[in-house]
Amino acid sequence: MIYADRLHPLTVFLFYSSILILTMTATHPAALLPLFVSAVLLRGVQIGAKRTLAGTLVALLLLLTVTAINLFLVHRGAKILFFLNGRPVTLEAGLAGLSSGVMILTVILFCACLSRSLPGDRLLSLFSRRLPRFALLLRMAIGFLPRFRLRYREISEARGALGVASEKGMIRKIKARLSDLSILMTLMLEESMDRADGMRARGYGLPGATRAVTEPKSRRDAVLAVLLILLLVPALYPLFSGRGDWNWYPLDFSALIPDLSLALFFAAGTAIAVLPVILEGKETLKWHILRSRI
Amino acid sequence: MTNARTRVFLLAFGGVLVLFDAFLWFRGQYRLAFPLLAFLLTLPALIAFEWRRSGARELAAIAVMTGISVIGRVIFAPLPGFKPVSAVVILTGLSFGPLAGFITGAATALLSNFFFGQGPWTAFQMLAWGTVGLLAGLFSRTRLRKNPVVLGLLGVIGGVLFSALTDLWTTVAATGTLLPAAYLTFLISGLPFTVLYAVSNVLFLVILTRPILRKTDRLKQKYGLFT
Repeated sequence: MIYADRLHPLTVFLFYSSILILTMTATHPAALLPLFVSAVLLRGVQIGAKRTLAGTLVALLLLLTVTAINLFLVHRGAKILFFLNGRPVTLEAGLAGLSSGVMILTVILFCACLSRSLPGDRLLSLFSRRLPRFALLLRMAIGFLPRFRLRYREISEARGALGVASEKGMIRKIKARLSDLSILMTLMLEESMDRADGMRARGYGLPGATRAVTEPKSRRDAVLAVLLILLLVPALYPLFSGRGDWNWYPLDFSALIPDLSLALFFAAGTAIAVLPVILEGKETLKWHILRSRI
Repeated sequence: MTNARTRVFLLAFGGVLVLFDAFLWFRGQYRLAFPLLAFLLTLPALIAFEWRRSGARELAAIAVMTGISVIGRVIFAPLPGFKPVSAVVILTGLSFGPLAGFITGAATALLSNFFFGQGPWTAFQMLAWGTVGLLAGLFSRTRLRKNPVVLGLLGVIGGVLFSALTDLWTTVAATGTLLPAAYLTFLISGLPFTVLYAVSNVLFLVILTRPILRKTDRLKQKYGLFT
């Protein structure tokens, strides 16, 4: 089960967008690493440890590529490893690349978690109040996808019965397929006009009609939203004050461990990312325990 | 079509995002600033689409074109870089106008990424395909819309723009800054793909232009769409 299904989509979306903003602006390793760990944990809770670990190879490849890109493109830094074509390859650039790789990986993981917590239809219901036409367009286009398949089968079967499909020769067969597709497009365009007329008949575009999808809001949403705001204020402080900035050039390992106040601000950011892990984890655990083993 | 509260909300939302993006630029947080900028550049078209008074039939026609290009992207997924999306978006722009072209491109990127994975790159793809549709739409009421040179140019521009914008994201994501040298390296190393995009766009345009424009023109005439 997915815990997010019991929440209003806006709550889920706000959580994930806060996490993504924090991740994409995290330059300090002490801020980034906990976010990365919680991303891995959240993905693990969502799809299981085995499938999460299956992505390790791709992740390593990404890390390696981004590190290499930085090593060979950025020539800043004092700790020179070796020279390539007369240009210095520095340790700083490598480490900066590694941290970029971890950041990208974290963003990808959180985005994957977001699309699981908030499937397409619930995400669309979010814009349906403020961008109703665009949301409706997306819904209609999704709705057309299975219809395309259905109509394509009907067309090719009908034309097969007429003997068109049994034509000999590769070129003729391809031509027959292409004209099936051409018929499909004409048919779908015509059908969409009928559908539009149906929408009009049911009152589409009348003044006062709302096209918003209503989703229930509960106390749980209110509690989580308040919690999010309370955590977000300290979590964003390092970004707005500039205290969380980290510079790889020049390298200064002593600054790697943040002082207490900065660590607390980072902890608030981590808490926002850990909260979904706890909530989803509890749900997954409950689902596991309560499942009948007959 | 929209009420005053929605307008106020959208303007305030856009305004806050612009300020936030400006702040991120100022702080050198390019990793978030660039995708946000790409999103902010698509926002005016989305808002214009909301505020334009047009009927259900136009909406349905755009939805069909979006569906076609999404299916095209999914069907051709095994062939990297070889996609009919830009061609379909260009043809939509040419027949239904700039706004419809932009919306088809942006909606295609957003929808098809539900299959391929959403991320910050979605904003760049929405902008790239949207802009191609918009550019094509500028020719929709001119005599040049069936001109092979214009079609070819649009296909090439589509490929280059898509490459340039997605490489912009790669550069910013990988290095955290916009180093011209790094961007140039990405552009050069992605050149085979850029050429592939452009060639496949032109190829799909050569195949699809006549049949698709014939159908959409007929539809427009029969139902009086996009007048």
